[in-house]
Amino acid sequence: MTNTFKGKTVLIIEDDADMIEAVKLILQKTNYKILVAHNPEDGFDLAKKDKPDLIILDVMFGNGGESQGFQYAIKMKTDKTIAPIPILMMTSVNAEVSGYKFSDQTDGEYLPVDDFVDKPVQPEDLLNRVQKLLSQKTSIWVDYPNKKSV
Amino acid sequence: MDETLLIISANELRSRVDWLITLRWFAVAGVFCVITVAGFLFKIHLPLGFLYAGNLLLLAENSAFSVYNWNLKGLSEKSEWFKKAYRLANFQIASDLIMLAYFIHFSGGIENPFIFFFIFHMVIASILLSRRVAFIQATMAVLFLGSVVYGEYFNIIPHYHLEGFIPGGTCLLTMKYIPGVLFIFVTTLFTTVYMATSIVKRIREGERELASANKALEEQDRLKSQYVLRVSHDIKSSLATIQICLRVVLDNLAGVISEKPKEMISRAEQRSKNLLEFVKDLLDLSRMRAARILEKEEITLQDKVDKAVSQVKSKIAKKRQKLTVEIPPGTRLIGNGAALEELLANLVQNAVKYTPEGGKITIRSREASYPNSIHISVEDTGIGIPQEDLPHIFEDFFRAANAPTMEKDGTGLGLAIAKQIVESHGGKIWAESRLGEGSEFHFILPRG
Repeated sequence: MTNTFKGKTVLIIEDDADMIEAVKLILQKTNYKILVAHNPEDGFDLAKKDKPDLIILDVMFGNGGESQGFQYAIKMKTDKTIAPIPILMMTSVNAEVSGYKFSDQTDGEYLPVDDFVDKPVQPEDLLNRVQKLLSQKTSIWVDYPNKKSV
Repeated sequence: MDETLLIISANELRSRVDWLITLRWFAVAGVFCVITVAGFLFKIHLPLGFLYAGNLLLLAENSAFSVYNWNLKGLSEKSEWFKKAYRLANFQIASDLIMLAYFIHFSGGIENPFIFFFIFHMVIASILLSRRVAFIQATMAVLFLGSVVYGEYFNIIPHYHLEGFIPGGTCLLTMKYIPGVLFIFVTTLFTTVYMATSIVKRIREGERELASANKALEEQDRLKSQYVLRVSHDIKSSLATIQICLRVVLDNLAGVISEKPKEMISRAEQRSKNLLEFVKDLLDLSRMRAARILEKEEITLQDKVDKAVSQVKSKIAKKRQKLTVEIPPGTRLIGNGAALEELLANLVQNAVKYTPEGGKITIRSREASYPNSIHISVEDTGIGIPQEDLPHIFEDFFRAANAPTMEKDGTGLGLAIAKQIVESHGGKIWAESRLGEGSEFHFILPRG
């Protein structure tokens, strides 16, 4: 299973350096090329420049408790270059944030992300989700705000 | 503009202007009846032509006000609307004063007791307009009536004596009577405005205080949930990172480690998982308690039960337990979907946890004995709850004495959360149990 997607690029947008290290170790066996951005702005630019095959996006960035990941998920889907790239959202927020009916069951209906995983994520679970999204190739939200049925 | 904004809110002004126009329709009808009854029934000597003409004029005027007011409502710019509506209210009152002076003039002038109808307009002006403008309206009323009365007295305009009403054929238009009545008239009008505006001011101040207190409360609420969200994220994300870092080591992803370190790291990882669970429950509970309103929607019970059951499916299979669901098809209720799912999941998870291998779990719903309510129960053939623990199981952090025999770690918050969810839906939850034989958790939820 490890070589199926050899040479694929995964962009991790996450401000927690320790989490990044752990995710890198989980994904290293797969020989994916890993790109890292520590904030959503850099992540957006990097996604535009390097066109990764998958984006793993955090929700909360910095100490302000801002849920920038939500806005960036939408921003990415409104950008023609980035829109086709599937997004896996990874977060420990599961409270209802105003404006987003947010929960691991319902967020897909409101947020333009292809999959959602609640932290703590388990290595095997993360690997499975990453591979599933890579095989999907194109984001279901490529025509945001319309959702493609899978 | 600022001053008027302080006097009356836009919504109130809107409804008051409507109200004023409605009142005037009644006034039109009232004036017509009074003229007709006084002229034809009581045979009071009145210039009926002028009075009916005035009546028609009032009718036409109110139609115009009504149309103008209707058009005003189409204005999108709110401040412009307010300015125009306020001006309309002001103008209506002033024109009413003129119309009233007109009617008074043609029906005996100062001899007509209807002069005190000016008070109504003073009250209306005090409610609608600023105190200064209300006093200006009072001054205008005095000027209008004064002009009519002294105009008649000095023969500039004719005096229509109320023959048939004032007894003995005396004319009250005298040098003594006029100032006397006018003095009482002026003091009554100004006192009315003073009192009415004072009362209105006090009421409005109270309303404003209430509104700002409400706003502060809402802000506090928002800050509180923001705080909970922050804490939730910060604690959870740190724990999640600790857990995944340990997991990576345990899975040999960072290089192979030997047995003893692995065991210790495994312990640490398990503890971080427990702590995560605990934090999650604690935050769920405090968030629910902090929330004042619960969003509700129509829910199909079967869906929620299916989702709750799917979370424990593998565990049920592993323990070879038999799960039965008895829900009449199409059972629906109004509630918070996520919360009800969590409630059912908590109860089903407990049943699975505390029931030995091969045991039975039954989820049942039926019409409650309360009107328009559903009675749902989750029953198991598990270890049961000691009698002395039964009254406490819904308390925060409480775990029954025999619970650790089946499940070493537990937050003791699952049932507290369940209780919170049921109560926030206006329902009731309770448990029945026999030690060693099983437990039944029952709850009743109103349908809507």
